[in-house]
Amino acid sequence: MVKVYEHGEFEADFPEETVQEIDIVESAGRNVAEAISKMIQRAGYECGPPSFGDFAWEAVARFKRRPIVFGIHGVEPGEFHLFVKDLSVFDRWLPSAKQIFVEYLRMLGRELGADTRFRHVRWYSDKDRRHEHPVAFPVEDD
Amino acid sequence: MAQASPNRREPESMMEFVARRGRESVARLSQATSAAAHDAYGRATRTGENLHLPTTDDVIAFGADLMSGGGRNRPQPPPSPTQAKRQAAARPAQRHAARPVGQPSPPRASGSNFFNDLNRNPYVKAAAGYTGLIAGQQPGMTRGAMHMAEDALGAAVFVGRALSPQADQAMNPPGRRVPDQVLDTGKAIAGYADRIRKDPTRLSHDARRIGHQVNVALNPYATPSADTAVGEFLRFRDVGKNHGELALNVALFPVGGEAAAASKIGRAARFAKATDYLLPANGDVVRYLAKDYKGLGHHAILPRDAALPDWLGGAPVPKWIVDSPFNVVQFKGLTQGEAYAKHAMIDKHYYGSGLPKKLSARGWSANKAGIDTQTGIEQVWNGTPEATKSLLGAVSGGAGSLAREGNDGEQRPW
Repeated sequence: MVKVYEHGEFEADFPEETVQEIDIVESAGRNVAEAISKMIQRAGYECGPPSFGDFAWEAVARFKRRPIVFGIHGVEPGEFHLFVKDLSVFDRWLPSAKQIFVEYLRMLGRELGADTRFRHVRWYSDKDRRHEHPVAFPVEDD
Repeated sequence: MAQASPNRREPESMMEFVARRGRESVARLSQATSAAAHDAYGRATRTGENLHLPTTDDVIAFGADLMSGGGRNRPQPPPSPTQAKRQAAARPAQRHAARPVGQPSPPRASGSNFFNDLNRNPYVKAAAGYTGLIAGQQPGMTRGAMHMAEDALGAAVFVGRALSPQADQAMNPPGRRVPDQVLDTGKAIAGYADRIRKDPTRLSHDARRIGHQVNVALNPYATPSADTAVGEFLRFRDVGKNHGELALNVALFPVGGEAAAASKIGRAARFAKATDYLLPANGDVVRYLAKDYKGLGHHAILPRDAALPDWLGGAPVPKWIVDSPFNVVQFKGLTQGEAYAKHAMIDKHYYGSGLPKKLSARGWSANKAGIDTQTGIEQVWNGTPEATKSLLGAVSGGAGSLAREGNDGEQRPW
């Protein structure tokens, strides 16, 4: 049985980007999202540039042919939230799709943990909304 | 189709009149000869010609024209500035749908044209509008009941704050403390009375203006019809919701005076939940969060970047589907702060929102506001777009109506 933690938090010092305020205020995190997108590309996977979604900077990767998005959102200076989500419409609940999602989380956890620009990386489960029970890696095998 | 009220003894109410008129309109249209209807629709879909029917009366007249054997399309006028904007806005979505160059076209391409044509068909528009009117009734009554319950709860919180003035002082910035809000309400009433005293004609002017607003809110024929069936469904649905809430309010009027009086302070208390953690030092942020919500809403069913499976081409789901009101919770009528709080309740991925740089805080955090994501049926209900809930309600309500008709032979719109 595998337990996944698809919400992350970390600290990072990236140059402060300009916040767009034309119609919708874009939150901070574009530079961080760009860095993570390039990190995924270096790991050998296709990943698009980030764009601003409903509330976060999101970049879609084609990981083993499945579309998986990560989102970055900065609330306080130097502190960022991260979430990961499978974007497929019909088949995200299949065991094979879940297996690939777990592999993506393992890859992201490894890469983030190895990159010294990201500090205090911790992960949380869906149910831990208040982020009270952090773990060090996004996948745990029982 | 059975008429609504041949044997009724009591006078017809306004809601009954509107429902009867909607039924009669649909009945007239559906009685058109199928040959004439298919001919006009087939011609429009083959040539891509748009049927210019800007109002509901035009739709009905077009149906009558077909029934009388005319069967001709009206001349196509040049697009209005609004239509031109809509067409321009539709173009990127079409490009998006056709984007994967060198890959097999996803099978939805021909389907898009079919649905677009269907969406603009006058018969479908009329039927969708009627469905929306009925669909809005129950959510409107639910909305009315929820407003009353929330307002009662909010009023209790407000009274609690009034009884703890020290906590009120510590938690809320100037302008949002209990005495300030009571004072503001009193000032507004006194100011209005003073303006009426100086200019007595203002009262009749305001009464006319309110009468116009009531007409727009409750009469589906007081506003221009939408270009598409989806638009008509939503327009009539909003009117239907107003009918539903009005019906509940009228029914509870003898006991509802207190609830109505609590309305404004209840809303103030709901807003306080989203902003209290920011404390008085961030008064500018609180003022920003009190403005009307501007944003993309929450893509509830399909994510914003949703993709089709590989075996269907793997292309992005068309924007007009992903961004449709059936997929997006739009937070209409809420302030920024209320919308953020609701978003946090229904979306487990939402942490907060950015704030303009000129303000004293960088962002609004759901965690710091102490707002938890809902779970189970509560999350499903609140996280489903209003339009989708209305449509599902109409489908289930329609099935119920058919069952009733089968039993007693009488058609009852609600």
